[in-house]
Amino acid sequence: MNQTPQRRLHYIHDLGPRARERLAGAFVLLALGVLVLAVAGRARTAHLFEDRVHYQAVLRNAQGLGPDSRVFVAGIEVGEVSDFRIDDRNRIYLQFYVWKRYQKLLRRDSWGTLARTALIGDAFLDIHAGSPDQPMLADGAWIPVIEPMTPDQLMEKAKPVIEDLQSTIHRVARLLDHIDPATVESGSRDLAAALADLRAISAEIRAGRGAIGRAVYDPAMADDLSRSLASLAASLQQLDRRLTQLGPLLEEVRGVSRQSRELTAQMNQAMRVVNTELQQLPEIVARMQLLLADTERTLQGIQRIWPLSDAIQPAPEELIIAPGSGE
Amino acid sequence: MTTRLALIATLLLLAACVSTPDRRPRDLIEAEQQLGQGTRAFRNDDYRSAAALFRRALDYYRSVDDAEGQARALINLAETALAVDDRHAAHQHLAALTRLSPRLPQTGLAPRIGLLEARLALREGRADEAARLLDGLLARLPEDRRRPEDPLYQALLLRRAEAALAGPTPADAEPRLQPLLPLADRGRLAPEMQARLLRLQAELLLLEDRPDAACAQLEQALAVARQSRRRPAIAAALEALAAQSRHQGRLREAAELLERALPVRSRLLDQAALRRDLESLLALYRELGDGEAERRIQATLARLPAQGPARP
Repeated sequence: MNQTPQRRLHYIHDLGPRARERLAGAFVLLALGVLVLAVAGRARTAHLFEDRVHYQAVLRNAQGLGPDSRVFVAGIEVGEVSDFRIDDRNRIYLQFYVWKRYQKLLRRDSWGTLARTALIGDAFLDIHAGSPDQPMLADGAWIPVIEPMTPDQLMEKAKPVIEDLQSTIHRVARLLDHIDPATVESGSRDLAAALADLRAISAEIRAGRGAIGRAVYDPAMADDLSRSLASLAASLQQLDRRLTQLGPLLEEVRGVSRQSRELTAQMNQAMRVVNTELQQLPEIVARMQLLLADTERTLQGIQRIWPLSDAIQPAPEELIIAPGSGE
Repeated sequence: MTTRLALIATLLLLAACVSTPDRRPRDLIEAEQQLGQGTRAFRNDDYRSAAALFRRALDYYRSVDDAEGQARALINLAETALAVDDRHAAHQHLAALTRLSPRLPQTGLAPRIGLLEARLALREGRADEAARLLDGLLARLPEDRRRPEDPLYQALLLRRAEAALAGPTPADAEPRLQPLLPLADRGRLAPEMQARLLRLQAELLLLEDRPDAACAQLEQALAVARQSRRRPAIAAALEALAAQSRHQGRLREAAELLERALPVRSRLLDQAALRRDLESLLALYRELGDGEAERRIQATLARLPAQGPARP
């Protein structure tokens, strides 16, 4: 005969009412204890019950620093920005605090700077820890803050340099584009050949052969050369005199030439201006045509509706010259 | 509240006044406007503009094969040609009208075309032919138009009287003018018609050898023409007065009248009439022995373009 297994009752049903109440109270107390612990833990991490020491700084550009921005000393988070105030000269007065236990890091030679967690991350106030031999900064003390350049300012400063660099790279690239490796190679070969030729010519000269060799090593040839050079000098003197006589004329020609150049430049400039204007002319004409067409359409439209249509449409007898008008 | 209601009522009334837009083709409206503007230009003696406008309208009507429109434009062109005494052009326009005539039975323009033919014949000295044409037109004129108040009937009668005076039977002129006299007395004739009537009456009075009465009629014609500012009528009255003064031996007065007619003729493009006036004036100054005036007129004549019809 099959026998149904008897279900086991929860132990709570075996407990008396008083025990049940105690058990429930224990759970409530446990939950309260966990809550208290959580709050205490949070209060500790949030430094809720820590004493704070307030400091002040003045800035020209907060660079995104705001209330609740963090304050670091030597890479440790030590406090937060608490408030801002802007004076009549648009200077920003910054108030921040550090927790009491970190006060000893801030000394008279401490100074701050504005920084970011990344190039465009959150701004924070980074304070350099002072020397231990310096006195601690008291509550309400001023800390100098160095404002670094903003990324925009940095970019603005770097922009000309980058542009110069870019331009230089472009020039170098263009230069390199024009260099043909084959040409360099053949140039090198030509240079080597030219040097060899030069060497051979030098040897010929040293041997007193050829016109230059004879000129250098043959006394008769040297005399001829001296006479020729003297004659050339006399000719050059004569040419110089002629050129001196031509001086005023050349000056005049130069003046005319300069004036012509200036005139040409002015003409070019004027032509550029005229050309620019002329380039705009077709557009102006086209726009005028459109405007006139629009106006005509509008007028025609107006003339087709009352009361103008009646006023403008001539009567049949007005379309023909009255008989007897002519002599 | 009352003001607002009044405003709304006004707007509703205005909206009710709006007629349907003129939906005819734009070219047709333009052609009609050209005819209207040309007619106004003609009345202002601006024959050049008038002819240009009529020609443009004619081009349009030809392009849509509109016979009645073409006829209107051609009639206006023929009137303009006659105004400047361009007889060649007048012949051409009338020939074109003759070709169109079979297509114009219902338009009522035939008497008008006939009147133009008669005027051209008169201008060319074919008075008999003009009289015959005008008699035919008057006979065929519908009954409802045979009223003295009808401008076409008035014009036909006046031209018929003119043809009679230019022909061998000038006595026929008077009965033609009779129906118009009551209207003239009441001032119901158009100024140019009245001026012409007065000039024709003056001619009749001259035939009756009553020069003083004729002069009075001509003075009256001049006054009517001047009052209406119609240059052709003014010039015609001045010329008629000058002719009468000369006929009566008042040479200096005739010269003065013709001198007054010159600027009027100069304003018109009728160079043939201007030349005719200048030549008459030259002859007068020669008779008067006024050498300086003679030289001045000769110089003016020399400046005129070569003889030939004026082209508007």
